[in-house]
Amino acid sequence: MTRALIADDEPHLALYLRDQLLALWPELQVIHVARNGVDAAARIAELEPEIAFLDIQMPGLSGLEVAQGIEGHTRVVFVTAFDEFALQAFEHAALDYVLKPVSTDRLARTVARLRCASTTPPPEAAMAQVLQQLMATATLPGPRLRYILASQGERSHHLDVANVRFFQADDKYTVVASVDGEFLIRTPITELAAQLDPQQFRQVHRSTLVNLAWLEGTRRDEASRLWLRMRGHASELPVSRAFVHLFKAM
Amino acid sequence: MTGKTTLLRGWRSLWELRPHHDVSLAARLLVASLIAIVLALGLMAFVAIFGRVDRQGWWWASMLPNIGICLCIVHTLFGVLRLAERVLPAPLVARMSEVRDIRAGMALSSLSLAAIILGMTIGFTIVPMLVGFNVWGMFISLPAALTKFAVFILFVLGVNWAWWRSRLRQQQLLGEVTQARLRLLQGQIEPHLLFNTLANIQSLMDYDPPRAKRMLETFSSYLRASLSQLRQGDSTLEAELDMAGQYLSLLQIRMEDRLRFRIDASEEARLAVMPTLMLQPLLENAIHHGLAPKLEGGSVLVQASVTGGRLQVRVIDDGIGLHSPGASGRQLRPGAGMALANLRSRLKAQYGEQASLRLLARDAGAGAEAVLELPYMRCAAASSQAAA
Repeated sequence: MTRALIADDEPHLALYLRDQLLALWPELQVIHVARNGVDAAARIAELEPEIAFLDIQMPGLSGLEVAQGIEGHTRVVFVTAFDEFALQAFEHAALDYVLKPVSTDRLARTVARLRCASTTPPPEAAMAQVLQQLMATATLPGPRLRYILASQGERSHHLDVANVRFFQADDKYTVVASVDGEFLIRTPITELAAQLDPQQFRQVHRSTLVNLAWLEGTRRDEASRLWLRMRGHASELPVSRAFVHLFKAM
Repeated sequence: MTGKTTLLRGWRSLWELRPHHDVSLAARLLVASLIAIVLALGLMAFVAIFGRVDRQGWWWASMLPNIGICLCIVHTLFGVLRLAERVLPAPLVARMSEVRDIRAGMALSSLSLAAIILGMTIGFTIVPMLVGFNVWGMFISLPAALTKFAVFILFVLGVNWAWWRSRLRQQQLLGEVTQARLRLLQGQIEPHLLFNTLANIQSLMDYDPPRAKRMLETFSSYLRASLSQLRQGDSTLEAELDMAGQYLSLLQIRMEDRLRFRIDASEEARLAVMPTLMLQPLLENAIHHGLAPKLEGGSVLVQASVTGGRLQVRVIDDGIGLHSPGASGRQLRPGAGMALANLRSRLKAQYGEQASLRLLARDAGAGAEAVLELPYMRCAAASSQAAA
């Protein structure tokens, strides 16, 4: 049985897509319909559906951001009304997408593809590339960020980025996990990624940016999810599906 | 009447290079023959007026040979053009027929000139055989007529060149105007909005037909308002607010409780003249960058007032604000920052330093506010309308 999740901020559009999908694929089980990106991300992590139909423009997190945070084996199908840049990228990378308004013929073709592809893994490297391209985290020219100024109550701390193990998004803030302790800053992960040396700092998840100098190794769990071990840090960091290919053994 | 239009269309069709003509061959041949006769008589009249004709009965004797030669020239010219349409590759024909660049024009002119020379050769070969005397020798033996003829040909070429240049310029201007209008239209009927609305109507037709109907009606009014706005350079705030209302209602049907809006303008402000399609991009910004990324949505307030001879229009939203940490969603639409820059350059072109557009953050990062300021000018037509 294939399980699917549908995310769209306009509920009747999600319902319509569900009905069309069920007509073409009666064995498909739609386990959740999310109304925003945050709900979609949480439910995908919790329920691990085989397929997620993600609208690109959603409040909270965009469909692209949700895709960037998927750790399990969920295969993403993007749904959009029109997004010139995204459509070009999807087409180029042979990623799955559905256009609104839904055309039955077109959807039937996507369903046929999903049905026979459910055994083969989705193209991870292509997905990561497309996501990176569309999220426009192009590295900025000019001087790289070398120090982080983090405030802690009345005092502020001057941190050398070389001493930072990783950055992690936490609701409205970004946690700086440094050798000297943990600090909060307001700069979002995507902005940091653009300002830091890409040779040293890698985004491995929608909400995580790691310093490769502090990477100790990886671990694959029984659900075949990938985790990073950082030197001097007890807990492991999850790697989302889209970034797994960065850590293939040599 | 129909005969006249057929001839007119035949005339136009003669000068166009394209693979298929929608005018009958007979009509085109007739038009070509008429051209030849007019040309022959014109040339003869020219010689009669400016040349020294020393023989009696010259006019009647040489009319038929002249017409014959001109028929040969004109039919060869158009024959060669028609042959070119068939023989040359289609893309080349398309390029030559559209007066776009100077090379296409030169190619077409050279082709025509070669065809005219060929036609003259044929004419001067065939016609003497038919009339039984040496037209060419006679023509050659009249140096004055020959010179006049050469001057005439140069004159025709010059006129043709000037006409062609002006047509080129006109087409360029037309192209620029069309492009500017297209850009505006494209911004107006943004594909994402268009397809999303259609998708909504598609699904609502099954689940909520009355709402589908309402959406279709609102969308039609919005399109109608946009298109009529596009046809004019200056508009009134009244018309702009009307369109803003249609746009926001359309989005409200989609976003349901996630969008609330209010339009608040004084009677005096509504009569103000302002450039068309200025308000719309500000609303789009507020929705796409302010409210859409926010989970619970929010509200948009459009305020317009006149103070000290200046019109002030404010678009206020309580969305995610300008520097929110979670605002990565705003990167989704590349070129979105273009909208403000575009508006500013339009304002500067029309008002110089007299107008301004500012984007301000609201307190505590709760939303943003766009402030548009223009010199206040009352619309004459609107005020008389309001009086009536």
